[in-house]
Amino acid sequence: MHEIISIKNMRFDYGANKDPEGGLSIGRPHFTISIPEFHISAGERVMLLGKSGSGKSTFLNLISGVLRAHEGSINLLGQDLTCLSAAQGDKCRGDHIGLIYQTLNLVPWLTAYENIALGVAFSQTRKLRITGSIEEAAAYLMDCLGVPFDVFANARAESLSVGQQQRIGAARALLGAPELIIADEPTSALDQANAEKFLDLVFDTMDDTSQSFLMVSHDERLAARFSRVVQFEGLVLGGTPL
Amino acid sequence: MNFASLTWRSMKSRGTSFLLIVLSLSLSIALYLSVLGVQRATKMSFENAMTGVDLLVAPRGNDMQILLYSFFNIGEPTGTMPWSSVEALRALPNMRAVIPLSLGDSVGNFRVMGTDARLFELLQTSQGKRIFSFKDGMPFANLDAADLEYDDNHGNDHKSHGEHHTDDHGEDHDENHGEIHDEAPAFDVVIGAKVAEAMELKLGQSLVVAHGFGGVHNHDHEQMPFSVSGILDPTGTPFDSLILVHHRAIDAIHIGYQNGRQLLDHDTVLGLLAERGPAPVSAAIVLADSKLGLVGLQRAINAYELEPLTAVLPGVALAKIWQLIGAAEKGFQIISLLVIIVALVALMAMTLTSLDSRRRELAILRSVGASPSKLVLMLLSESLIIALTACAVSIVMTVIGSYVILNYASGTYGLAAQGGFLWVGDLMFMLYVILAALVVTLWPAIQLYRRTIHDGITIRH
Repeated sequence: MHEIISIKNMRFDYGANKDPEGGLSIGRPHFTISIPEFHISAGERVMLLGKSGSGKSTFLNLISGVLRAHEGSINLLGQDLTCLSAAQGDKCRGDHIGLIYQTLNLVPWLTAYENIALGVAFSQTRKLRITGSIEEAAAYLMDCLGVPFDVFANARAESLSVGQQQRIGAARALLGAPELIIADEPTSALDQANAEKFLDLVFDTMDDTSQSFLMVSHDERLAARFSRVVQFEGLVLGGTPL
Repeated sequence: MNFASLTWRSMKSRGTSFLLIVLSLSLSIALYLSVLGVQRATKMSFENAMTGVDLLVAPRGNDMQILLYSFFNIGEPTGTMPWSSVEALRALPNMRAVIPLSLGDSVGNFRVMGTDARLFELLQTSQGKRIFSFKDGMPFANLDAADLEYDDNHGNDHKSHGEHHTDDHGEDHDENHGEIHDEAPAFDVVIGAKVAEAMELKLGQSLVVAHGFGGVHNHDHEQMPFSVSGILDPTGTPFDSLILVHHRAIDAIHIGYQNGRQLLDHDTVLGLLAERGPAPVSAAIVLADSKLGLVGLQRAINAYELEPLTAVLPGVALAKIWQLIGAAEKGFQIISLLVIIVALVALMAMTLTSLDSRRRELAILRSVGASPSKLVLMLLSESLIIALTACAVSIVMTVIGSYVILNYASGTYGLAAQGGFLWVGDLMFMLYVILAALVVTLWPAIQLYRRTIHDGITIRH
């Protein structure tokens, strides 16, 4: 199995404002995220456990090409993100990463279908991966995820329940089969039963051979569904396979 | 979902605020364009009205004032000059024509100008074309002293002027020229296009002249009615709102007229008119044979010993008027520019405020691969669309506005039709407004850029 993500000796100084990509640092503590080694292979489902404020958001911005590491390397599908320009990073993310948020997954002024289609709006690569029409692909995903296309395609994002919005968000992340699906606390707004159901649906819809799943969460109850659970402790990432 | 449809949908989601901002921007642009249009239309009509007039002679006075009351229906003549002065002018060398102007009466809101029929022939544009053309009918008759002698035989032949003049103008005109009749002793008048339109006058219809200006009718010259002999085509000059009669007809209605009452009967009046020479006039148009001697001519007239006269070079007086009102003009322009700036600031404020409510969508768009610069482009496109729409709407508003303004103003001042509105320069101005709209969006755009960089793909609340 080839590697989707491979991190080596990565260090990121939060608040290192010499680097414009480091973001705003005013009034924020300086801290460092350093990750000696981290891998995700194709088909893996990895859970990243950590408390809020532990730098998870920064970590997600790092592996999705928004932020640049100050040392070491982050490889996404063999491409070193640290060497990419901002625009190349954006393209890389659009082409290879699908993102599911905690809540508020949807652009409020678009319909459910349009929100899904957004997934390939900025990526030719993902668009080309769809064999039929975008609409067919979206319909398939919606049907798989339990928000039937016929019923919800033209629903306004705001009219959907939190659970439904979550699934539409997942469908957007899955459209065009990006290699890595990242979910940022996707289940924290759902109860246990619904969270499990949601994950099951996403996993069933994913292609296990080519797509990997990385979920950031603090909810250990879902750990059983993952092939690996990694502790995101403090600001230093470490951990062992379960 | 492509970039254009995303932008469009995003704008649509904030429809009401966009409509309002487009409305305020287009209103402000239309205001500015209308101010410019009115200024240009005024200048054009002033200049049109004066082309071909070499000098304007009036009793001693301020040249701007003379120009305004004799040509632009603004203000009232301050005095009169005796007919002898007109004749003295005619005797000067290098003189092609002296056309008297007699002012002081009105019909409704329209002024009556006593003059003579050569006005229609002699006033020309700078291209040598006649200013006046008749839509209907013909000039009024020249009431020279000889024509005013009572002629019984011709009197019986008299028919109503209107019917009479419809065919074979020239000959009939000469025959009945200055004719006086017991029962229908109407003088001819030629009315400007605006007068004809506003008063719905047709050839042959009669009207009653009132003493003085303004719409107060307690002093009508009722016993001396006038009948329409000609209707002029629109000229885009204040002549459009004038009622032109022969100056002797003005004399006639004032003979025996005292304290607002006509004391003499008709025949007596006409008899007296024939006996007396022409009454003093308000001003005279001077046309010279050659432009070269104009200044000398002006000097000679100003130095005329028997009567204090002022000879006005219309171009010079007009330039003084523009200079005088230039400051007010600038003021109007600046105020309307400020209104545009206010609208642009509102655009900036709206865009800035919208950024907060858009944090979520910006993060989502970034997560699917949109670069910060693309999002900035989206914001700028929105402003571009707003500015373009506002410009288009403002053109429509200005066209409508110019009709309203001209309809209102031309009745009184005879503003040049349409001509002054929406020039090519105005399109350039709109281009600047569009650029300005983009410039004021730069600040929100920078904010958006920094924010998207900072937030990345994480949704912050």
